[in-house]
Order: sequence, then structure tokens, then C-alpha cells
Amino acid sequence: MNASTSARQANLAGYLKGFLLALLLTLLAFTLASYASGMDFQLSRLLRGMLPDATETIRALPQWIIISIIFGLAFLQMLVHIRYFLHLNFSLQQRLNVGFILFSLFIIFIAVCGTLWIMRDLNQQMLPVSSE
Amino acid sequence: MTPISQLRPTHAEAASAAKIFGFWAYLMSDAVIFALLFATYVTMSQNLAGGPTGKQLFDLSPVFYETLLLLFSTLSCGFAMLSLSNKQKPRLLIWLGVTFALGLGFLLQEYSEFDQLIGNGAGPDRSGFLSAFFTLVGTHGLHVGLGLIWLLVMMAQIILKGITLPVASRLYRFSLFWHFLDLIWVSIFSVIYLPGVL
Repeated sequence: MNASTSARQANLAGYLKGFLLALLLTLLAFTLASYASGMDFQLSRLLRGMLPDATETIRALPQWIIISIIFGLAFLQMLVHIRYFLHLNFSLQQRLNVGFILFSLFIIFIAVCGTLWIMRDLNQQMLPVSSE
Repeated sequence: MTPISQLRPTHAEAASAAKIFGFWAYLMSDAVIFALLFATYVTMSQNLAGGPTGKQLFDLSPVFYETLLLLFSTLSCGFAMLSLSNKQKPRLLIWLGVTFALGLGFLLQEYSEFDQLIGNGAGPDRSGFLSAFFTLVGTHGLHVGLGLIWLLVMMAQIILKGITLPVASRLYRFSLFWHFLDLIWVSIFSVIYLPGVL
């Protein structure tokens, strides 16, 4: 495919939709972190004024649940970026690109999970440091 | 049915398609680099060496500014691509200029954040956690900086050469690069900053 056909697939509505979805997911992630940590950012007071006061509920959650939700929002936002900004789809013209990207994701999965698994395991087998 | 003549790409179009595929190959190799830097960061994030933690160092406000600047610059880059497909040269230059200004704003904000951290004795030499942090966020910042230089070169090419097929093809690849950098930034604030302040 070439630059003109790919640009034709893109339109103003698509970019604006992607932008608004990305903005919404960003605000959700930042507001959640702001609730959980008590740390403010520019819009946090405004957003927390609009939302019900969930500080107690969110602080009662274990940290791994909050981090999982933040990762989930990030994953959704990446899908939004890929769909609306990078314009990847499963059309015939793009099949080569998509296949290549899926292969790269496979490589990334092996490298990242392998690193985290092995380094964590090595860390647990280390003897504790006796003194500085 | 599409006529056969439209299915067969011209030589220039085929060359452009091959370059776009090649650029995806570059982007994916870059994605592997970032993925490994993320794996390094997660592994090192508890190695504080008695130094400050993420909760003590990170502030959500500048990170939120940086996120908005990059998100708006991705939108203006999209608008530039729309002006490109409509062959509107002045509008294209204006949107690329807006993209440049927002990207530069992001870099300046990041520079002041790094400056403050190093000034407070939390530089990359302080702990394994901070080394990994500066390597990952710095690599992304370096990409944004090189993207800004590329953007200036493209603006000069539009002014000097006009919107020719090679220039349009380069601009399309620049837009892929720019959107890709915003995607990496989403992972950076979701893996480093937001879990860091908890």
C-alpha cells in the first residue's frame, strides 16, 4: 500500500475518536493512581469532584489489583493507538505488516517473560547480604 | 470489481510500499529494544541501594503534562497527514509546526524533570533503579529528539521540493514513527510512573 491510500483510510472523525478514547483512558489511569496514592495532578481535584468519593474503596484494594487495572487501561489505549493512529488492520494490503508485528510480539514475549522469570529466580537464590 | 489496472501498483507505489514494510521492520526492532529496557527496569526497580524510591521522587503533575503534550502532538501529526492527502501545503506546514512545538515542549518538560532529579542527588549513578529509569525514559526522549530533527528536515523538503511522491512517502513513515513513540510513552507512564507513586 502507499502513502495516499493509507491516508485516505484515515479521516478526521477517526483521529478525533482515537484522540478522545486515548484521553479518556489516560485520565482514568491517572485518576486511579491519584486516588490510590493521594498524589495530585493538574486535573485530579476537578475529576475527583465529578466522580463519587471512592478513596476508601480504592485504598482498601491490594496494590496488585490497582497495578493490573493500570496495565489493563494501558493495553486498551495501545489498541486505540494501533487502530486509530497507526491504522493497522487485517486487510490484504497490510497482512504482511501485521504478520511481521505478531512475530515481533512473540519475540518480545519470550525475551521479556524469560528475563523477568530468570532474574527473579536468580534474585531469590542469592544469599542475603550480611552487612554494608 | 476493481479494474486490473488499479490492482497493479506503479513502480513508485511498489517502492513506497516496500519502504513502509521496511520501516515497520525498523519500528519492531525498536519495540524489541524498548521491551528489553522495560524488562531491565522491572528487574531493577527494587534495587534501591539505600537511595530514594519512586514514591519519593515521582510527581504526577509533570508526567501528566508530558502525556498531554505527546497526545496532542500525535493528534496534530494526524491532522498533518490529512492535509497531506488533500495536498494542502500551507495547512500541512502549520500542523507539522504545531507537532514540532508540542514535541519540543515534551522534551523541555522531560529535561527539567531530569535536571531536578539529578540536582536532588537522584541521578543515574545513585542506584540500579535510577540507572534503569534514566536509560529507559532517556532512550524514549532521545527518539523524540531525533524525531524533531526529522520533522525539521521534512518541513524543509516540503518547502523546497513541494509535495512529491517521495516526500509524501517519507512523511507517512514519519507519522508512523511519531505515533509509535506515543505508544511507547503510554507504556512508560503505565509501567514506571503510575505504579511508582503507589
